[in-house]
Amino acid sequence: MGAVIKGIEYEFPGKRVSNEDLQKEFPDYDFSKFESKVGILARYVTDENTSALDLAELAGKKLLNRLKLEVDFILYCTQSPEYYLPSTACILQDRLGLPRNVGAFDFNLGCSGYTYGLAFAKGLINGGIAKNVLLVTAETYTKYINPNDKSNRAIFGDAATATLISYEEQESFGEFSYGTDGSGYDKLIVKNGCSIPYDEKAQIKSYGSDNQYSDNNLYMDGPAVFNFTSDVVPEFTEELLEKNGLEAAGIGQFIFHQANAFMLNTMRKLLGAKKEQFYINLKEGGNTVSCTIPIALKRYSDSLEEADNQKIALVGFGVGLSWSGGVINLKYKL
Amino acid sequence: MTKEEFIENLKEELEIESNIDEGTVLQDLEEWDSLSQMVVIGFAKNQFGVKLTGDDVESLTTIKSLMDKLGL
Repeated sequence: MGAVIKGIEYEFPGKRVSNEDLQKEFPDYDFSKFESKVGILARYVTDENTSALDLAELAGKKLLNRLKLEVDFILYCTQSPEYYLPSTACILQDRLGLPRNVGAFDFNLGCSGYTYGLAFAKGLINGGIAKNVLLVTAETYTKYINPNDKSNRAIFGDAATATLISYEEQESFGEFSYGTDGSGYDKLIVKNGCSIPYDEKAQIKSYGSDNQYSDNNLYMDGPAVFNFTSDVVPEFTEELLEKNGLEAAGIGQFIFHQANAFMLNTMRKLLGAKKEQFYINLKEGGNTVSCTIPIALKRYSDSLEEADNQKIALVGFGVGLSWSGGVINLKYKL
Repeated sequence: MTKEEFIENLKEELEIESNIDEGTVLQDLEEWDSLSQMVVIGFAKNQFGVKLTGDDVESLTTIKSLMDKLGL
């Protein structure tokens, strides 16, 4: 008994914001560095009438129209829910026209969410609870970012992805691992809007390269997140490989959360992985939180002539602080 | 790494176009921003095994102050 990824689809919103577009808006800052250092050419941004759920619906329909399998469970990863309640996964069940006997729930994780979702799906399938799990990630962080926070506007973009994980006789999922450090909860945070209400009079504050934000907005302590990532992720990845009885050379491709190219390169060097083994491609789309790994996995699969059952190490890390990873076999073109 | 090599490497890492030396004040550089701060943190970690926090980097003044932090 085992689980396998059958396919992935993703969806960006319609509005593309290039580095040139940002340069026009902030003439005093050099955005060309975003291409060379961060590796981002453009990000896609939702308008006020489009939600993460709208993107999720499009990605889900694209995938199910192609694969035509009967979904019996929806796992919906988001920090951009449609409402406080109900769960967005319930609304998606209706929008996708899925039967009433499907299980569906949301889980609130950011950049570590996709790999968590794969582990849930493996558990549901191997526990005999589900046969075809639709794992959705959907984020619209751009709605949380202050218009005058140029750094975060340049890094983050919106997207949704849909992945189908199905039951098969042969197991294509390896072992997964997880990590949590809630003491870093305020390193990447939107403070207001839940236990502390949204405050129209919230004070405007400054950070980094003369960026502005208030407690109603997304705040990221970039240096702290960078240090956390380079401290934790390489060692975590080595432990993950060991748990799977593998060495770096046995991995066809490392696909990490596409946070930024500089950070990924730093981790690649710390891990001792070769360039051609380590996926870095966020030029189109930027950092889309829990969507970057499935987008990268799909793009990597598209770049192959055929799926050759190679081993892929997937690792997500970020807001929480939270991290997780796993090894899968790429059995099918996605 | 000698002091001269360090300054040359830093210039390359941060893509600094002007001439720099130990006395150059980082904040005076056109290229000095939060992105360069991340690059400096990565450089310190990779090349010197030294972990700099955001506060450490914020408190830097001259290139000499950075070299002191790295034990150069």
